[in-house]
Amino acid sequence: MPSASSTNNPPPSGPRRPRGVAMFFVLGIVAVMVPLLLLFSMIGSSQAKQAMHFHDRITTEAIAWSALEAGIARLQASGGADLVSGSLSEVDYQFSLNPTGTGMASQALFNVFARSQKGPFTYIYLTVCEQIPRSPLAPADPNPVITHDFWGTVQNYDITQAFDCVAIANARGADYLEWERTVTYEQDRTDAEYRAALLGKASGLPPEVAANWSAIVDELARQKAVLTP
Amino acid sequence: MAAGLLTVIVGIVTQWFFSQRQYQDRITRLSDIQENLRQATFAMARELKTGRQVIWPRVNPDQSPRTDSVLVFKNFRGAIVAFFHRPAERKIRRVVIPNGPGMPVEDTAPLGDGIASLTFTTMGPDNKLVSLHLSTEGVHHLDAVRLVNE
Repeated sequence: MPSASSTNNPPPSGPRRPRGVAMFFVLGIVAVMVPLLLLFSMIGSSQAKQAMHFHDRITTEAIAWSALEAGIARLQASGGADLVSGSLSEVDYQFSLNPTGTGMASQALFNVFARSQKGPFTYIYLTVCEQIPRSPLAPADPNPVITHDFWGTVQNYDITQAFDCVAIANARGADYLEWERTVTYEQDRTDAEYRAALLGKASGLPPEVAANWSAIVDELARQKAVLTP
Repeated sequence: MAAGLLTVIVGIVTQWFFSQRQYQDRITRLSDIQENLRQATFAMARELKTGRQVIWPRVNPDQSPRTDSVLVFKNFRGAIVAFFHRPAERKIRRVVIPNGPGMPVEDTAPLGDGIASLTFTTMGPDNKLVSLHLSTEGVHHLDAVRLVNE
Protein backbone atom coordinates (compact mmCIF):
# COMPACT_ATOMS: atom_id res chain seq x y z
CA MET A 1 0.00 0.00 0.00
CA PRO A 2 1.51 3.30 -0.96
CA SER A 3 2.45 5.69 1.80
CA ALA A 4 0.83 9.11 2.15
CA SER A 5 4.02 10.93 1.22
CA SER A 6 4.48 9.04 -2.03
CA THR A 7 0.82 9.69 -2.87
CA ASN A 8 1.30 13.49 -2.46
CA ASN A 9 4.39 13.71 -4.74
CA PRO A 10 3.53 15.58 -7.96
CA PRO A 11 3.97 13.68 -11.16
CA PRO A 12 7.23 14.31 -13.04
CA SER A 13 6.82 17.50 -15.10
CA GLY A 14 8.81 16.26 -18.07
CA PRO A 15 12.47 15.84 -18.87
CA ARG A 16 14.81 18.30 -17.04
CA ARG A 17 17.17 18.60 -20.06
CA PRO A 18 15.06 21.18 -22.08
CA ARG A 19 14.86 23.46 -19.03
CA GLY A 20 18.64 23.43 -18.68
CA VAL A 21 19.13 24.23 -22.36
CA ALA A 22 16.62 27.08 -22.13
CA MET A 23 18.44 28.52 -19.14
CA PHE A 24 21.72 28.16 -20.99
CA PHE A 25 20.37 30.16 -23.94
CA VAL A 26 18.84 32.83 -21.76
CA LEU A 27 22.04 33.33 -19.80
CA GLY A 28 24.06 33.25 -23.01
CA ILE A 29 21.89 35.93 -24.60
CA VAL A 30 22.16 38.07 -21.47
CA ALA A 31 25.94 37.61 -21.46
CA VAL A 32 26.13 38.84 -25.06
CA MET A 33 23.53 41.60 -24.92
CA VAL A 34 24.65 43.37 -21.76
CA PRO A 35 28.18 44.16 -23.03
CA LEU A 36 26.73 45.15 -26.40
CA LEU A 37 24.31 47.56 -24.78
CA LEU A 38 27.14 49.00 -22.70
CA LEU A 39 29.25 49.42 -25.83
CA PHE A 40 26.47 51.16 -27.72
CA SER A 41 25.80 53.44 -24.79
CA MET A 42 29.49 54.39 -24.78
CA ILE A 43 29.40 55.19 -28.49
CA GLY A 44 26.40 57.42 -27.92
CA SER A 45 27.99 59.06 -24.92
CA SER A 46 27.87 62.74 -24.18
CA GLN A 47 31.38 63.15 -25.55
CA ALA A 48 30.29 62.00 -28.97
CA LYS A 49 27.27 64.29 -28.76
CA GLN A 50 29.49 67.24 -27.86
CA ALA A 51 31.72 66.50 -30.83
CA MET A 52 28.71 66.51 -33.16
CA HIS A 53 27.43 69.67 -31.50
CA PHE A 54 30.69 71.45 -32.26
CA HIS A 55 30.89 69.97 -35.75
CA ASP A 56 27.48 71.52 -36.51
CA ARG A 57 28.69 74.90 -35.28
CA ILE A 58 31.74 74.88 -37.52
CA THR A 59 29.75 73.67 -40.51
CA THR A 60 27.14 76.36 -40.02
CA GLU A 61 29.72 79.10 -39.76
CA ALA A 62 31.64 77.87 -42.80
CA ILE A 63 28.46 77.79 -44.88
CA ALA A 64 27.50 81.32 -43.79
CA TRP A 65 30.91 82.52 -44.93
CA SER A 66 30.52 80.66 -48.23
CA ALA A 67 27.12 82.31 -48.71
CA LEU A 68 28.75 85.71 -48.20
CA GLU A 69 31.32 84.92 -50.87
CA ALA A 70 28.52 83.73 -53.16
CA GLY A 71 26.84 87.11 -52.65
CA ILE A 72 30.04 88.94 -53.58
CA ALA A 73 30.41 86.72 -56.66
CA ARG A 74 26.84 87.63 -57.65
CA LEU A 75 27.83 91.31 -57.63
CA GLN A 76 30.89 90.55 -59.76
CA ALA A 77 28.50 88.97 -62.25
CA SER A 78 26.45 92.20 -62.52
CA GLY A 79 23.89 91.14 -59.95
CA GLY A 80 21.76 93.74 -58.22
CA ALA A 81 19.33 93.68 -55.32
CA ASP A 82 18.59 90.05 -54.63
CA LEU A 83 17.68 87.50 -52.00
CA VAL A 84 18.89 83.92 -52.47
CA SER A 85 18.02 80.93 -50.33
CA GLY A 86 19.43 77.45 -50.57
CA SER A 87 20.92 74.61 -48.63
CA LEU A 88 24.32 73.03 -48.57
CA SER A 89 25.09 69.80 -46.72
CA GLU A 90 21.57 69.96 -45.28
CA VAL A 91 22.30 73.39 -43.79
CA ASP A 92 20.06 76.26 -44.86
CA TYR A 93 21.67 79.48 -46.01
CA GLN A 94 20.58 82.82 -47.41
CA PHE A 95 22.34 85.83 -48.79
CA SER A 96 20.83 89.21 -49.44
CA LEU A 97 22.18 92.03 -51.60
CA ASN A 98 20.80 95.29 -50.27
CA PRO A 99 21.59 98.43 -52.30
CA THR A 100 22.48 101.41 -50.14
CA GLY A 101 23.18 104.04 -52.79
CA THR A 102 25.78 105.23 -55.25
CA GLY A 103 29.35 106.19 -54.44
CA MET A 104 31.32 109.23 -55.54
CA ALA A 105 32.82 107.30 -58.46
CA SER A 106 29.35 106.18 -59.60
CA GLN A 107 29.92 102.76 -58.09
CA ALA A 108 26.89 100.94 -56.66
CA LEU A 109 27.05 100.40 -52.91
CA PHE A 110 25.60 97.31 -51.27
CA ASN A 111 25.27 95.80 -47.85
CA VAL A 112 25.71 92.07 -48.37
CA PHE A 113 24.17 89.88 -45.65
CA ALA A 114 24.72 86.14 -45.37
CA ARG A 115 23.04 83.82 -42.91
CA SER A 116 23.27 80.15 -42.14
CA GLN A 117 21.34 78.14 -39.60
CA LYS A 118 21.37 74.58 -38.35
CA GLY A 119 19.50 73.66 -35.21
CA PRO A 120 20.22 76.24 -32.52
CA PHE A 121 23.21 77.72 -34.37
CA THR A 122 22.91 80.87 -36.42
CA TYR A 123 25.74 82.77 -38.07
CA ILE A 124 25.30 86.05 -39.89
CA TYR A 125 27.93 88.03 -41.76
CA LEU A 126 27.70 91.51 -43.17
CA THR A 127 30.08 93.28 -45.48
CA VAL A 128 30.00 96.46 -47.52
CA CYS A 129 30.58 96.06 -51.24
CA GLU A 130 31.32 98.64 -53.90
CA GLN A 131 30.36 97.37 -57.33
CA ILE A 132 32.28 99.18 -60.05
CA PRO A 133 30.90 98.85 -63.58
CA ARG A 134 33.11 96.80 -65.86
CA SER A 135 34.98 98.52 -68.64
CA PRO A 136 33.04 98.65 -71.93
CA LEU A 137 36.29 97.59 -73.60
CA ALA A 138 36.20 94.27 -71.72
CA PRO A 139 32.54 93.25 -71.52
CA ALA A 140 33.40 89.68 -70.57
CA ASP A 141 35.31 90.70 -67.45
CA PRO A 142 33.59 90.60 -64.06
CA ASN A 143 32.65 93.83 -62.34
CA PRO A 144 35.40 94.84 -59.94
CA VAL A 145 33.98 94.61 -56.41
CA ILE A 146 35.69 96.21 -53.43
CA THR A 147 34.73 94.66 -50.10
CA HIS A 148 35.36 96.10 -46.68
CA ASP A 149 34.19 95.99 -43.06
CA PHE A 150 33.42 92.33 -42.70
CA TRP A 151 31.44 91.75 -39.49
CA GLY A 152 29.75 88.76 -37.94
CA THR A 153 27.23 87.92 -35.26
CA VAL A 154 25.65 84.83 -33.75
CA GLN A 155 22.45 86.70 -32.90
CA ASN A 156 19.40 85.28 -34.63
CA TYR A 157 18.23 87.91 -37.12
CA ASP A 158 16.02 87.40 -40.16
CA ILE A 159 17.90 88.90 -43.09
CA THR A 160 14.82 88.75 -45.29
CA GLN A 161 13.29 91.50 -43.14
CA ALA A 162 14.39 95.11 -43.68
CA PHE A 163 13.92 95.84 -39.97
CA ASP A 164 16.36 93.10 -38.97
CA CYS A 165 18.87 94.19 -41.62
CA VAL A 166 18.85 97.68 -40.12
CA ALA A 167 19.33 96.17 -36.65
CA ILE A 168 22.34 94.19 -37.90
CA ALA A 169 23.81 97.30 -39.53
CA ASN A 170 23.29 99.21 -36.29
CA ALA A 171 25.00 96.51 -34.21
CA ARG A 172 27.91 96.58 -36.64
CA GLY A 173 27.83 100.37 -36.40
CA ALA A 174 28.33 100.25 -32.62
CA ASP A 175 31.54 98.26 -33.13
CA TYR A 176 32.50 100.57 -35.96
CA LEU A 177 32.14 103.62 -33.69
CA GLU A 178 34.34 101.94 -31.10
CA TRP A 179 36.95 101.40 -33.80
CA GLU A 180 36.72 105.08 -34.78
CA ARG A 181 37.25 106.01 -31.14
CA THR A 182 40.52 104.05 -31.07
CA VAL A 183 41.62 105.64 -34.34
CA THR A 184 40.90 109.09 -32.92
CA TYR A 185 42.81 108.18 -29.76
CA GLU A 186 45.84 107.25 -31.87
CA GLN A 187 45.56 110.36 -34.05
CA ASP A 188 45.33 112.68 -31.05
CA ARG A 189 48.65 111.48 -29.62
CA THR A 190 52.17 112.00 -30.78
CA ASP A 191 54.33 108.95 -31.35
CA ALA A 192 56.07 109.50 -28.03
CA GLU A 193 52.79 109.89 -26.12
CA TYR A 194 51.27 106.82 -27.73
CA ARG A 195 54.38 104.78 -27.10
CA ALA A 196 54.56 105.92 -23.46
CA ALA A 197 50.88 105.08 -22.89
CA LEU A 198 51.38 101.57 -24.27
CA LEU A 199 54.62 100.98 -22.37
CA GLY A 200 52.74 101.96 -19.21
CA LYS A 201 50.49 98.94 -19.66
CA ALA A 202 53.42 96.50 -19.44
CA SER A 203 52.91 95.90 -15.73
CA GLY A 204 49.43 94.51 -16.36
CA LEU A 205 50.47 92.12 -19.10
CA PRO A 206 50.92 88.38 -18.71
CA PRO A 207 54.63 87.44 -18.82
CA GLU A 208 54.26 85.69 -22.18
CA VAL A 209 53.23 88.96 -23.85
CA ALA A 210 55.37 91.23 -21.65
CA ALA A 211 58.52 89.45 -22.85
CA ASN A 212 58.19 91.02 -26.32
CA TRP A 213 56.13 94.06 -25.38
CA SER A 214 58.81 96.61 -26.29
CA ALA A 215 59.05 95.23 -29.84
CA ILE A 216 55.24 95.01 -30.05
CA VAL A 217 54.94 98.66 -28.99
CA ASP A 218 57.45 99.60 -31.69
CA GLU A 219 55.18 97.97 -34.26
CA LEU A 220 52.02 99.51 -32.79
CA ALA A 221 53.64 102.94 -32.91
CA ARG A 222 54.72 102.33 -36.51
CA GLN A 223 51.13 101.48 -37.46
CA LYS A 224 49.60 104.27 -35.41
CA ALA A 225 46.87 106.16 -37.22
CA VAL A 226 47.88 109.68 -38.18
CA LEU A 227 45.82 112.58 -39.39
CA THR A 228 46.37 113.08 -43.08
CA PRO A 229 46.62 116.74 -44.09
CA MET B 1 28.21 20.71 -19.65
CA ALA B 2 25.89 23.68 -20.13
CA ALA B 3 27.71 25.55 -17.37
CA GLY B 4 31.04 24.81 -19.03
CA LEU B 5 29.85 26.07 -22.41
CA LEU B 6 28.36 29.13 -20.79
CA THR B 7 31.66 29.87 -19.05
CA VAL B 8 33.54 29.60 -22.34
CA ILE B 9 31.06 31.89 -24.12
CA VAL B 10 31.06 34.42 -21.29
CA GLY B 11 34.85 34.35 -21.30
CA ILE B 12 35.05 34.98 -25.04
CA VAL B 13 32.44 37.71 -24.93
CA THR B 14 34.10 39.38 -21.94
CA GLN B 15 37.48 39.36 -23.64
CA TRP B 16 35.93 40.73 -26.83
CA PHE B 17 34.10 43.38 -24.85
CA PHE B 18 37.20 44.59 -23.03
CA SER B 19 39.29 44.65 -26.21
CA GLN B 20 36.52 46.65 -27.92
CA ARG B 21 36.32 48.97 -24.95
CA GLN B 22 40.06 49.62 -25.06
CA TYR B 23 39.85 50.26 -28.79
CA GLN B 24 36.86 52.53 -28.31
CA ASP B 25 38.65 54.43 -25.53
CA ARG B 26 41.62 55.00 -27.80
CA ILE B 27 39.47 56.21 -30.68
CA THR B 28 37.42 58.42 -28.37
CA ARG B 29 40.58 59.88 -26.84
CA LEU B 30 42.04 60.76 -30.26
CA SER B 31 38.71 62.15 -31.39
CA ASP B 32 38.45 64.28 -28.24
CA ILE B 33 41.93 65.67 -28.82
CA GLN B 34 41.11 66.50 -32.42
CA GLU B 35 37.86 68.18 -31.42
CA ASN B 36 39.64 70.09 -28.70
CA LEU B 37 42.24 71.38 -31.16
CA ARG B 38 39.53 72.33 -33.65
CA GLN B 39 37.50 74.06 -30.98
CA ALA B 40 40.49 76.13 -29.87
CA THR B 41 41.24 77.06 -33.48
CA PHE B 42 37.61 77.99 -34.03
CA ALA B 43 37.59 80.23 -30.94
CA MET B 44 40.66 82.11 -32.19
CA ALA B 45 39.65 82.25 -35.84
CA ARG B 46 36.29 83.87 -35.16
CA GLU B 47 37.82 87.07 -33.81
CA LEU B 48 40.95 86.94 -35.91
CA LYS B 49 39.11 86.65 -39.22
CA THR B 50 37.37 90.02 -38.85
CA GLY B 51 40.47 91.64 -37.35
CA ARG B 52 42.30 94.56 -38.91
CA GLN B 53 46.06 94.26 -38.44
CA VAL B 54 48.48 91.63 -37.17
CA ILE B 55 50.97 93.38 -34.94
CA TRP B 56 53.06 90.43 -33.80
CA PRO B 57 54.77 88.42 -35.20
CA ARG B 58 55.78 90.29 -38.33
CA VAL B 59 57.12 88.67 -41.46
CA ASN B 60 60.89 88.93 -41.73
CA PRO B 61 62.47 91.76 -43.74
CA ASP B 62 63.00 89.34 -46.64
CA GLN B 63 59.22 88.57 -46.53
CA SER B 64 59.82 85.06 -45.19
CA PRO B 65 57.27 83.73 -42.66
CA ARG B 66 57.86 84.21 -38.98
CA THR B 67 56.64 82.07 -36.10
CA ASP B 68 55.91 82.84 -32.47
CA SER B 69 53.81 81.46 -29.61
CA VAL B 70 52.20 84.89 -29.11
CA LEU B 71 49.86 86.58 -31.59
CA VAL B 72 48.98 90.25 -31.18
CA PHE B 73 46.44 91.88 -33.48
CA LYS B 74 43.87 94.66 -33.66
CA ASN B 75 40.33 93.31 -33.75
CA PHE B 76 37.32 94.80 -35.56
CA ARG B 77 36.77 97.31 -32.73
CA GLY B 78 40.40 98.45 -32.82
CA ALA B 79 41.30 96.88 -29.47
CA ILE B 80 44.69 95.21 -29.16
CA VAL B 81 44.18 91.50 -28.54
CA ALA B 82 46.83 88.92 -27.72
CA PHE B 83 46.45 85.15 -27.98
CA PHE B 84 49.22 83.19 -26.33
CA HIS B 85 50.05 79.71 -25.14
CA ARG B 86 50.86 78.97 -21.52
CA PRO B 87 52.76 75.64 -21.63
CA ALA B 88 52.70 75.00 -17.88
CA GLU B 89 48.89 75.10 -17.87
CA ARG B 90 48.53 73.68 -21.40
CA LYS B 91 46.06 76.48 -22.09
CA ILE B 92 45.54 79.14 -24.73
CA ARG B 93 44.76 82.48 -23.14
CA ARG B 94 43.40 85.76 -24.50
CA VAL B 95 44.21 89.19 -23.16
CA VAL B 96 42.65 92.48 -24.31
CA ILE B 97 44.90 95.52 -24.15
CA PRO B 98 42.76 98.67 -24.47
CA ASN B 99 43.84 100.88 -27.34
CA GLY B 100 43.17 103.86 -25.10
CA PRO B 101 42.95 104.38 -21.36
CA GLY B 102 42.84 101.27 -19.19
CA MET B 103 44.95 98.31 -18.24
CA PRO B 104 45.09 94.88 -19.92
CA VAL B 105 42.41 92.37 -18.95
CA GLU B 106 43.01 88.65 -19.32
CA ASP B 107 39.94 86.49 -19.98
CA THR B 108 39.06 84.22 -17.08
CA ALA B 109 38.10 81.34 -19.37
CA PRO B 110 40.83 79.99 -21.66
CA LEU B 111 40.32 79.83 -25.41
CA GLY B 112 41.65 76.28 -25.36
CA ASP B 113 42.53 73.75 -22.70
CA GLY B 114 44.75 70.69 -22.82
CA ILE B 115 46.87 72.04 -25.69
CA ALA B 116 50.54 71.00 -25.57
CA SER B 117 51.87 73.45 -28.14
CA LEU B 118 50.69 76.34 -30.27
CA THR B 119 52.49 78.45 -32.82
CA PHE B 120 51.37 81.34 -34.98
CA THR B 121 53.10 81.89 -38.31
CA THR B 122 52.50 85.08 -40.23
CA MET B 123 53.11 85.22 -43.93
CA GLY B 124 52.37 87.26 -47.01
CA PRO B 125 53.57 90.73 -47.93
CA ASP B 126 50.75 92.38 -45.97
CA ASN B 127 51.31 90.20 -42.87
CA LYS B 128 47.63 89.28 -42.84
CA LEU B 129 47.76 85.53 -43.28
CA VAL B 130 48.19 83.65 -40.03
CA SER B 131 48.85 79.93 -39.88
CA LEU B 132 47.88 78.21 -36.63
CA HIS B 133 49.56 74.99 -35.59
CA LEU B 134 48.32 73.18 -32.49
CA SER B 135 49.37 69.80 -31.18
CA THR B 136 48.66 67.49 -28.28
CA GLU B 137 49.88 63.95 -27.68
CA GLY B 138 51.08 63.49 -31.23
CA VAL B 139 47.86 64.83 -32.78
CA HIS B 140 48.45 67.90 -34.94
CA HIS B 141 46.02 70.47 -36.26
CA LEU B 142 46.92 73.07 -38.85
CA ASP B 143 44.70 75.89 -40.01
CA ALA B 144 45.11 79.31 -41.56
CA VAL B 145 43.13 82.52 -41.14
CA ARG B 146 43.27 85.62 -43.28
CA LEU B 147 42.32 88.96 -41.78
CA VAL B 148 39.72 90.48 -44.06
CA ASN B 149 39.40 94.00 -42.73
CA GLU B 150 41.68 97.00 -43.09
